[in-house]
Order: sequence, then C-alpha cells, then structure tokens
Amino acid sequence: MNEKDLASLAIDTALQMGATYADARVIRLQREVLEVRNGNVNGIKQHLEMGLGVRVLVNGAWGFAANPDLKAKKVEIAVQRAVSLAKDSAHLYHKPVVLAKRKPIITTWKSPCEQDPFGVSLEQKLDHLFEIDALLRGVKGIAFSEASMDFWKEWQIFVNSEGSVIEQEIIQSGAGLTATAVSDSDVQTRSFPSPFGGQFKSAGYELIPSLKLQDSAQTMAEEAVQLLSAKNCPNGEKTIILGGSQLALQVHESCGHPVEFDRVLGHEADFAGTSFLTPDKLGNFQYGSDIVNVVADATVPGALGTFGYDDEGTPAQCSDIIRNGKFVGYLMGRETAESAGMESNGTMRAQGWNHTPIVRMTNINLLPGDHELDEMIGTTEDGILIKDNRSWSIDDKRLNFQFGAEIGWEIKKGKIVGIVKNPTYTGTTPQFWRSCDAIANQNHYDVWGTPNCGKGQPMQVARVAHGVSYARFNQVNVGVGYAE
Amino acid sequence: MLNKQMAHDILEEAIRYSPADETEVILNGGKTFSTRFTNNYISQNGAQKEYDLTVRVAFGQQVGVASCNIFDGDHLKQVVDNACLAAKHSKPDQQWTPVLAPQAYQEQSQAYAQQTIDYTPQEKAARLAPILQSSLDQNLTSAGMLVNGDNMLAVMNSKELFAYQAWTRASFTYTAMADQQGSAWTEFHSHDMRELEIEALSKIAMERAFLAQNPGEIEPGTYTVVLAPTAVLELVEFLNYLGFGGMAYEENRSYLSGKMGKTIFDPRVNLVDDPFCSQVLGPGFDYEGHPKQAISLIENGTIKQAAYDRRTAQQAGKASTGHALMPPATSGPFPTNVVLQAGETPIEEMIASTERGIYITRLWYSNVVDPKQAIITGMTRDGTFLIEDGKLGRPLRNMRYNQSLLQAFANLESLGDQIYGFQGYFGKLAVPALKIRDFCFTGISKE
Repeated sequence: MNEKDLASLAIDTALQMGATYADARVIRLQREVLEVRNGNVNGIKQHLEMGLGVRVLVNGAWGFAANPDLKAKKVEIAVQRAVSLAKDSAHLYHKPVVLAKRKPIITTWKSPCEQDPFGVSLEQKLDHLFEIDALLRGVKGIAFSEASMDFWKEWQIFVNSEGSVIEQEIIQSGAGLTATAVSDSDVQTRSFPSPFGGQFKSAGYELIPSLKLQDSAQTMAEEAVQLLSAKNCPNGEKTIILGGSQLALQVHESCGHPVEFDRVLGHEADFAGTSFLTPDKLGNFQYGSDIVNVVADATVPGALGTFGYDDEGTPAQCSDIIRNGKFVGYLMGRETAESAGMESNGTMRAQGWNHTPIVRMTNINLLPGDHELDEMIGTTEDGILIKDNRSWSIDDKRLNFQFGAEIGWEIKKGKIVGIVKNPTYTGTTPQFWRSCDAIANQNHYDVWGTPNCGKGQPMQVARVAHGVSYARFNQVNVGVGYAE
Repeated sequence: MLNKQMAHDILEEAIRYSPADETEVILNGGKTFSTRFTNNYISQNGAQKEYDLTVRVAFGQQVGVASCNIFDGDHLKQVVDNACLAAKHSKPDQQWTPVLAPQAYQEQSQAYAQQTIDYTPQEKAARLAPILQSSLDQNLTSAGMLVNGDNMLAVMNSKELFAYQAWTRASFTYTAMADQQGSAWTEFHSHDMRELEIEALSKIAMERAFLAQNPGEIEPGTYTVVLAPTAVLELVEFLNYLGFGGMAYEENRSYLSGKMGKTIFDPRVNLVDDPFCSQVLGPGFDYEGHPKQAISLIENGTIKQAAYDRRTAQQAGKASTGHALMPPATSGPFPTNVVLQAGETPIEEMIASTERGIYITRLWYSNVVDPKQAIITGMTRDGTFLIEDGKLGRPLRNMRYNQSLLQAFANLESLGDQIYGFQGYFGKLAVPALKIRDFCFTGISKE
C-alpha cells in the first residue's frame, strides 16, 4: 500500500469504529545538519524518518495515536488505540468538540526550491563551511569559530473523513556563523545572519550563497573581540532601536504567542501558559501605537512559516492580528475557532507524524513603516541600537519580558558613538508596543526563520518566522540583567 | 518495548552492513501515553511509539553520523550507507577517539516497573475523574498531564561492546486555577506509577490556588526567599548546564573555568551526578557505552570536577566520566542525573524562621543573561507569597528575577531535609527546598 492508501485505511477504520471525524497524516522527513568548528568537522548528521499519526473524534472527544511502522496491520492498531483513547476521554467530557465547517480539498502543494539541497554534494557544503570558518579564525583573538548548515525536506499526505486529500512537500534551508572571544572573566559571541543556527527559509540550496556568509565573517569576528573590552550596556530608561532577528524574537514572544487562541482558552495553562489577551479585548484593545500592524501570513513566498495547508487541511492565509495598533485577531484552528463562533485561519500544525496538531504561529510579521534606519538613529537623542538575540524570557501570560542581545550601539544626539556589550532590556508587552514611534521601511525588511518554537504537552517544536525591519521604542528599561 | 535481545539483533545487523574501520550504533526510544486535561476535562489523549537508531562510522579519522526511525533491512542498510557517505566526504576529525572496548555495567533492573507501562488509559481517566470533579465542584479550573511510558537505550560498536538499559516513566503535572488570578502548581516524577499520589498532590494545589487569589505587589529589590523544590529545579538546572560541561569548562566558557578545587559556594552545597540514585535513575552508561558512576561535582561548596566524554577528556588529558551525549553532541558532555543533596531543615521551618521574605512555588522561563558570571533571569509562577513574621502571607503578582547563581549558592540560609526528583530540559534532577538571602527581583508582571 502506498502512503495515501495507508492514510485512507486509517480514516475508513476510524469511521467503522465509530469516529465522527478522523484525519491521518503520513510523513517522510529527510534532514541534514553540518557543523564546522575551529577548523574541524564538529558534526555531520543525516536523518531519515517516517510515520503515521491519526486523530479521531469519538463521542465528541479526541484520541490520537502514532506509529512509525507503515504496514496496514500497524495502521489499524494505531487507529484502534486512538479510538479507544477518545472513548476514555469522552467519559470526562462536559462539552463535545465541534469543528468549524470546511469544504473538502484535493490538491498538491510544494514550497519554492530552485536547487534541492540534498542533491548538493557534501564536499561542496563542507568546502563553503571551512572557508567561512577560516575567515573567522583569521581574526586575532577569536577562540572559537563555527559555521553550520541545516537542510530539511518534509513530504506529507493528509487525508480526512470529510474527503480532503492534500499532498505537500516543503524544503527548508538554513545556515549561519558564530565567532566567540573569551577572556578569564567574559565570553562574547557574534553571529550572522542570526544567532542559533543563522537564517532559515523555505528555500533550496540557493539560499546559502545568497546569505553571503563569507562577506560578514571578518566583521563578526572583529566585533566579538571588540566586545570583550567594550563597556557594559548602561542602566536606566533609554530609547531603543531593535533590528533583525532580535526584533523578530520580540514579535515572536510578545505578539505571536499571546494571540494563540488555545492559550487564551486555557489549553496550555499547565505548560506554555495562558495569555493576557482575553476575548473581551478582541477589537477594542490598544496593543501598540497606531503605526503597529501585525499579520499572520502563511502565504509569504519562501518564509519558514509558509505552507499550503495546515495540518487540519485549512488553506494557508493572511489575517490581521494588530491593525493600526488595535488587537483584531487570534491564531485559531477549527476547534478553537468554532468555540468562539469564528473561522479557522489555518494555524494548526504538528511536529511531524507523532504529535497531534495544535495552534502554532505561521509567519507573524510586523509590517514595515516608512522610515530609513539612518533617520531613526538621527532622530534618537539617547538610545541604543540592539541586534542579535542572546537570551529571552517572558511570563506565562506574555506580559513581562526580558531580552538580552549580542551587541548594542550607543546613540547620543543622533549619532552612534560606540558599541556596548551585554545589552539587556525589559518591559511589559502593551506598554512597550504603545511606545513604538518609528518602523523602518521595506528596504530593511526581511523574514527571519525561527526553527525552535516550543509549545504543547508533550512538547512540540515548530518552525515559524517573523517579518521585520527596524522599530524604535521609547522609555525602555535597559541594563536590567546586571542589576545589583 | 524493544527488549535486550531485539535491540542486540538490530544493532548487530547494522554493524554487519558497515564497511567502516569503526562503527558505533545507538538505539533509543519507547512508548509514551499522555493524558492531558484542560478546563476540567481530558482535552488530548495520545499514544506515541518512537525509536531512533543513530550510526556513527569512522574511516580513519573521517567520521559521519546518520539516523533513522525504521529498522527493517533496507532502511537499516540505508542509514549505515548514509553515515559512510557522510564520513567519506568529510575532512579528517583530528580529535576522533576510537570506539571503546567491551565494558562491564551495573544492572538497574529496578528502573523498569512493569506496572507503570501496564497502567491503562482507562485507569488514568478513572483516577483523574474525581480530581476533575472536585475541581468543578469548587469552581476551580484544572489543567495538567498524567503520563506513563517506557524507554530503552542500547549501544553497540564494532569492538563488540554492548550496553542495554530499559526504564519506565510516570509523571503528573498539575495546575489549579481559581478566579482572581490565583493559581498553584505541583509535579511529581518517578519510574513507578504507584508512587504518584496524584489525589493528595492535586488537593494541596487546589487549596493553594484559593490562597493565591487577588495577588498584590511588592517593590522589586533583594529579599530572602524560600524556594519550593519545584522552584529550586531551575536554579540547579542552570548551575549544572552553565558550569559542569567538560567542553565549556576546558574552553574557559564556564563560570567554573579556573575554579577547580576552590570553595566558592556555601559549605553545605553538595552536588553529585548519580544515575543510580532512585530519584534520578538512568542508564549506567553513556552514549559511547562508557560506564557511569556517581561523581561529585561540588563537595562541601568546593568545585570537584566537570563532566567529560572521551573526546573532551582526551583533549584535556583526563579520563572520561561517562557523560557522552547523542552523537554528534556538538555542545559536548553534560551531567544528566544531578542531585543537590538535602540538608536538615523542613520547609515549614524555613518559612517559620523568616521574618520577611518571599515564598516561591515555581520559577518559569529562566534563561541565561551572562554565562561567565552565571547570571540568569526568569519569572515566578503559580503561587508567590509574601512571608511575614514566619508565616505565609498575602499572595504576590509574579515577579522577575535576575540572579547570579554564584551569589545565590553562596548566600544559602538552609537546605530542605528531603529531595524530590524532576525531569528537566537537560536530564533528571533531584533537589530539596532552599532558603536564600539577598535574592534579586527586578520587575513585576502586570498589565
């Protein structure tokens, strides 16, 4: 039996056993991770996996089972288990699950890819990484150099009991570098294009040369060395300008997570937390200043959070989250949307075949404004330009946050006067976004892949992204991480 | 569960396919049955079965790693071929250490409790039913998860080393939420489902949720804190993660680098890594098949040693302590069965001896501010209370802390008289309650 037949068998079996709804996903995943460190291969790992996950609704309750063994008999056993689990759950249900209506879809979808990364030789990839690694180590004072690539190809077929059959293939690539300088009392790292593995996109190998890692290697290494002797980020209230992946993570933690409707409904209360964005705030809460516009857009070509259809078969779409500063939309799936009389905006995704879909971010993008970065710096009296995340922390309702970054540039009277190390800043989500008075234009805009978003029990990791340029915030408490 | 013979057969077949000079194969995985409840009903009920096989091969010093989750003949051969292909296209790894010769291991048959894996979803639902009904009756909202499952880890290499260990897992995490922002938390982990007293634990959490309602504020600053074991967990996790990895230590990136043999913590601080301790049971060998034994990381406040795998040990001119992680383990070795040994003070006594301080049920979303100074930040969660005149007083809003671990473990007032086991992000931990003076809070969570 092929994968579609196995998924269809799962659905038929579930319906025969009393399910009122069922969906099944068969997934094949191929992954390759390469890392060069200090002139040595630190790791080359190639991973293959496959499996089937089946989700059923029986007596108004969910059951889920997953099995890597793609034989008809094993699929039937998985379905029996899922149905049995749903029946156990149903005993304790006081309100049956109802799914928002969807028309069946039969289609295929592929992410854009010019050059399949799994068709590129390991020699070519390693040669490039060794070239970058050598450039980093060429800078005096660098203790550790690292360059890495990460490739991902996921093929999935989704079949549900409503007649949908959706085949998708998503190819994703990522690469980055880090340079670390060490003294007896300090460790400083610079990364490019972004920390934690670099930039990730839904793209083929063509992404790698486009990142031009070699052009930034020396600068990153020199900055890491300079940071050892740089002054610490000052304490107190300052204007800050956030850019690149640091602003992307700010959006992720303080906009993306609080608008997940399953958090709002309490589904994540025991682990990831809930949200300050209670339903009464929808449409009438001033989230940010009126220049703040945030969308959830799973249709952005080439972004890490882009797909054709979510793991419930809902088409990818773009929906408003914050419009002119007002909170106007949640991320929802078919169950959570129906519970509030709304429609799914296609955000249900699972980590692979062995987890059940939950509400996830797609590409949560802060839309560009109309400023040039130079102008934003030029009109800042006393501030810090902060880039490249080092640390993040936020409370369970997504209100109080603190971030640390790799580097800051101190701004005095409209001019950058030098770098500072260990920049940290803290704030409260709505107050912070209401203080946003400038957002850079499209020329500075990029969509930053975040391949490590954790949520759910058992824990699932999602690959999402955030489109940002630069944004300026006022009266922000900086330097707090080193409070005495 | 793949038993010892089944695992042996799969690993042996994989090694047979390998033309490499040296081959090491690791098989791990198991089953997980997770019953998740939210809003007083079971919202997710899942069964997962997942195994991974990882092959590391070396042609001379050219090393490659590949993994897969299916083990029939064709796929097994393919994963070995992939590892060989990666190795042959790789550059020589100057720090490659040849695979180990066969070793002797301490058996841990007590780690597998059959009744844990035999516990049915029906039994779990039946045990949860009165808890969720009680929550409804009291107008509380309950969320949490009850999990049972099993795991195995097996390592074999081309020098005929073979190691196998199976163990079971049972855990209960529980959040009780009352109106007016009152919430409370409890968790318990064991290899034996029979040890999970979920009724008693949830009852205490429900009572605490009422006490936590209508939280007020207190000025950020330094306070004496009494940390429940569920809060101490995050502090010890970062104490370990930032300090005791042999790679970070040798590369001068650890806050402990250069401090070996020095007394930098309170003399009552004793930290060990011990996979044979019942609260943090784990395999008696690492991912290279190197035998583990209990090692002292901190003894009477003095730094005793870091954790090494064979690669980092060779570079440092030391012996492996048996802490290799799954290849390619690019971040190096870490202790994964960590115990902060108990003191003598019941937590009630810690509270009773505090004139003014803060009681913390749980720390949340902690992260590193400065690895070299061991400064971390995070939030309190699910029950923060003012302590006044030796008694738990009014509830407080969640607070942000920024704290050097070096100072925190030097500023110990007392250690709890009992340790509790937890599953952390980097392994298992067992910790007691702690009372610490001058703990630094920098902010409050509020709209």
